[in-house]
Amino acid sequence: MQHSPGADAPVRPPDRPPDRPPGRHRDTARDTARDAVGAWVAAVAARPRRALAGVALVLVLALAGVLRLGIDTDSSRMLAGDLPFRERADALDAAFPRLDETIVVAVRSDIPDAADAATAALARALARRGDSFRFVFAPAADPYLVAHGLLYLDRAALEARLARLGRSANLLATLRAEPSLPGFLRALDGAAGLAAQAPGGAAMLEPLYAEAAAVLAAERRGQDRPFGWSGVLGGAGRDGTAIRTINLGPRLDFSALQPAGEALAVIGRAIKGLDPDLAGAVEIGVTGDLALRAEELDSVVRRLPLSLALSVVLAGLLLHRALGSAARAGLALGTLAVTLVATAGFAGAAVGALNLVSIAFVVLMVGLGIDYAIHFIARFDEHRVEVSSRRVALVRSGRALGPALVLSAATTALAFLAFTTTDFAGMAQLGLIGAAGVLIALASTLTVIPASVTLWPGLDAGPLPRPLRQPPPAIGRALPWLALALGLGGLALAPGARFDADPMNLRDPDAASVRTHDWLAADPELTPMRLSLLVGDAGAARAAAARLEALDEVREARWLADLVPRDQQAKLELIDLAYPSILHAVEGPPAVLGEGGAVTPESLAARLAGQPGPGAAALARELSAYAGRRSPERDEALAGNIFRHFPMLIDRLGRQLEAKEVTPETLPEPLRARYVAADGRLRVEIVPAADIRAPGPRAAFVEAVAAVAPGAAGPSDMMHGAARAVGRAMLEATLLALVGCTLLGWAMLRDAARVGAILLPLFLAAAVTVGAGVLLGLPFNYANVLVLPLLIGLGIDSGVHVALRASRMSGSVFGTSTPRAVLYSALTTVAAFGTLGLSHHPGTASMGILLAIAVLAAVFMTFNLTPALIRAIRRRPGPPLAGP
Amino acid sequence: MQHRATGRVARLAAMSLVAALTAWAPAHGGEAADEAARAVVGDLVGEAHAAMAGEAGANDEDARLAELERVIERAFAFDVWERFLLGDHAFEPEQRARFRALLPGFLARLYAAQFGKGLDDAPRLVGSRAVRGDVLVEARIPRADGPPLPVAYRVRAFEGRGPLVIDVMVAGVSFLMLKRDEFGALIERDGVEGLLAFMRG
Repeated sequence: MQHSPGADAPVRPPDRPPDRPPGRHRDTARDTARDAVGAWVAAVAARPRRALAGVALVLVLALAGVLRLGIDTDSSRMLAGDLPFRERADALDAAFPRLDETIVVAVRSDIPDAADAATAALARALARRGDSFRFVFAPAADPYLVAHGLLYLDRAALEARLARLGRSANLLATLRAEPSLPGFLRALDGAAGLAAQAPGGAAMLEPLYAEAAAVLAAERRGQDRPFGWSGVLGGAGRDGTAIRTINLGPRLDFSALQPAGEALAVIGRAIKGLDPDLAGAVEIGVTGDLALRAEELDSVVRRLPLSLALSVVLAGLLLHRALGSAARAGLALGTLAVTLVATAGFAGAAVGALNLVSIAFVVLMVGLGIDYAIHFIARFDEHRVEVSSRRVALVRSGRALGPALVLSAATTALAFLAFTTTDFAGMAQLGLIGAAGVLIALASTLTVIPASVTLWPGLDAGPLPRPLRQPPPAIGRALPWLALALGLGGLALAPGARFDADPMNLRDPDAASVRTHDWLAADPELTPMRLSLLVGDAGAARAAAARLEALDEVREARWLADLVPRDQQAKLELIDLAYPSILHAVEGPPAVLGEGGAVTPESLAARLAGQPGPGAAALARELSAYAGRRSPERDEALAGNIFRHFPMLIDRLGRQLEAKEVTPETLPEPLRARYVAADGRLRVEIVPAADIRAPGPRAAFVEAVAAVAPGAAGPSDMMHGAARAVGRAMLEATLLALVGCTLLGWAMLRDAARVGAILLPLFLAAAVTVGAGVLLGLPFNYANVLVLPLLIGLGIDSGVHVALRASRMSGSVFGTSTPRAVLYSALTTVAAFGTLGLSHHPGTASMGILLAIAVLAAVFMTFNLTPALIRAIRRRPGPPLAGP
Repeated sequence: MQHRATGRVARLAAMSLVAALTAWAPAHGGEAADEAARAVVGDLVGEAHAAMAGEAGANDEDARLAELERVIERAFAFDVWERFLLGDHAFEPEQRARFRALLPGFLARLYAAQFGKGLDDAPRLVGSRAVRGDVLVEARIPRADGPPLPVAYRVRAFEGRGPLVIDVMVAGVSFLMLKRDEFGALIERDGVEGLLAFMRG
């Protein structure tokens, strides 16, 4: 139903006169607000074109700020730089920049040879791109480390490997000379014959038999399965998954939105360019700080327009229903757009780059910006039925709503500013932008709406103000108690709330960079969750490492000296002993040790059938089966699988002949640079004993290390410190906001009871939100933590509007447009951003869910407690409530 | 016999000369060491073949093995063999002495088992090359049931003792490594006494 100017007003409870009652003293703050807002609206309505031209000018200026706006997804910079853990992290970054600005390519396979071959191929391809990378370091493919790899085995493992190599020397030489299936059968036959003559010889060949049986079994199933040579000679067989890494130092282009974008593209092309056979045998992932950030930024930027569009559509539908026409919904959205652009412009000018928290100012401003527009238009509709003049109705709306709008904007801005005082720089930035945004939203509402309504008469045709439907009286009486009970329940659960500072938990677990990070984090040898301690010299490093390794929580504390293999003389002597055997395998002429006749699958199966061990038995079975299906094509395909990684094995063995004593000076520079800073300081790397991705083990590790090495820094220290710092910051800011809002409310209302009627529901709504987070297993994080300031903003707004309106009413406040405006404002916010709860991105999803809970809790508490408290205060003996 | 002894003296004289030349002219040290190593291995394979074939006058198996043992004892650096074969395993001094005493006989039996089956033809040296400070002398040892075995003798020059064999490899498989591995497994399973019993045959 639409009303027209001068139509009969709907039935609604009488307000007190809008102007100051006779005989009462002038209440300076409220009257000033009423007069100021009234005068502003009058001025805008008098010169609407000039007002809109002013808005346009502001938007042009704001666009200049918007163009400066960047996004910084580094979560570490969301905390104050002078926090001790930030200082430690910054010192580490300054000393070892290579550890920070890196991309890590991880190559995973259950065939170690395939992982090695793919790693070597990728490292070679990437090393050719000196224009994209400052360094490329693949430990598994580094010539020096490959040549000296044997020295890094412990002595028992080295002996076992050399013994296996020694026994396999002629086998390898035979295979090298004849890389075909007949050659393989002949070599195996010779080795089996030799092994049978030596005690334990057959057992030594068991891994070889088992691997050959597995390759034949795969062939029988129609699968390609390359022979795992290094696993067989290392004695490990196929147990477990091998992960190899390539550390890359990309050349960053800070003029691009993604500074590492070009480097990541080069990596992508190199991966695509891998030999398909090789690529099919491995999984390759790209991770590291730069890749994670790039992917997250991509995800944030990619999702933002869709999220915003969805938000606008849903908000538009609700606004249409609330305001009665598409044109008026468009007016509210246009006002919101002005608020968003102007706030973004302010953000660009004030902070430059947004962070993962402050980027959510868009959500904040939609929630709050629409709030002011709905309230103003709803109040305008009320006054429009009383007077025929649009301009008078606008001015009366401004005057009637002025104190509530100014008080809610001021308290919300104050609450946001409280966040700027904390160490949580991410939230401080959002607080600053939010505070400015609230004032911008107020100014935008009070300018765009009166000017537009004055200029376009169609915009004043709204629905008749309708009261919200009330529940039956019995339920209505119970609801305040239910609200109180819910609030107290939330309060009881609140101590279980925590802040999850692990940025990985914000990210899409299915994102490639996150999955790759998880591969590494699950491997104690590769986990990025390690700590680092900077020390001045070798003596300090040795002492620190000894103290740290005594801790149960520490698996290993390694520094430069640990990169130099221990017990080298003895190991070199063993390698020296095996040298002729390796030499024979690599370049010696194969010796015919058997009778020299042809070896067939059947004959080899017959020889193996008599040998002990499950590998020999399995190979005998597979060879017998293969004899039945043998063909030249199958022989060729089988040989392809058997010999796919054989040349790499021979190449690596040849390099190992060059092994000499390793010293700190002979280590590869990229490896040295990870442990020795440019200024000569040393880094002690502290590896956790357990998987520390969960907060409990992480805290135990960080605290144990801090007890003996207080200067240790790294991602786990950062997360641990950030969780505490953010928790403390949020508590401080919330208390400060509550105190500030209380004082400001009291200053404007001069009535502590009414201030209590505004803040108590807000406090209980916060308790319900926190309790729900605990109950649903949704800890606060960098993405959803904005729910608290949004709750404060919307909660105060709703409370102020309902409390001020209720205190002026002799009847129920629900007969006015105010609760309807509050409800639609809240529903608009929930509809626009609650849908984010369906997102795959855990950070975004938790934001959507908590935001919906917080906003609905705020409305529920305000509706059920604020009017009840106002009524209770009225029944008190004492001076009457002051009304605006 | 006299001819063989004269030859040995001549070779020792030659080796001494080579050692002196090595000290005097390092540039020629490689060749000299190579020559000396070939000489030692030449003696070893020749005399071992003779011992196993009974050419040295020994008619029964025990006598042939005893002669082979003497040949091996002259050519092998047993301290090196002992050190590598025993590794880090704990031996009492008395056990070590017994081990040392059993070692030549054990190696002689091993040598005979490996190379004592094709004695109609004489073994021959086919080449030599420097390997990490040692010399690898390659030989072909005839066998009864197949082509000659490619055997390499690793020879190291010891100060005051001249060149001695520190390892023997058949088709790239090192005796020393093979036996070190086997001995380690035996000691793990049966203890030092078990190993000594095994070596006694």
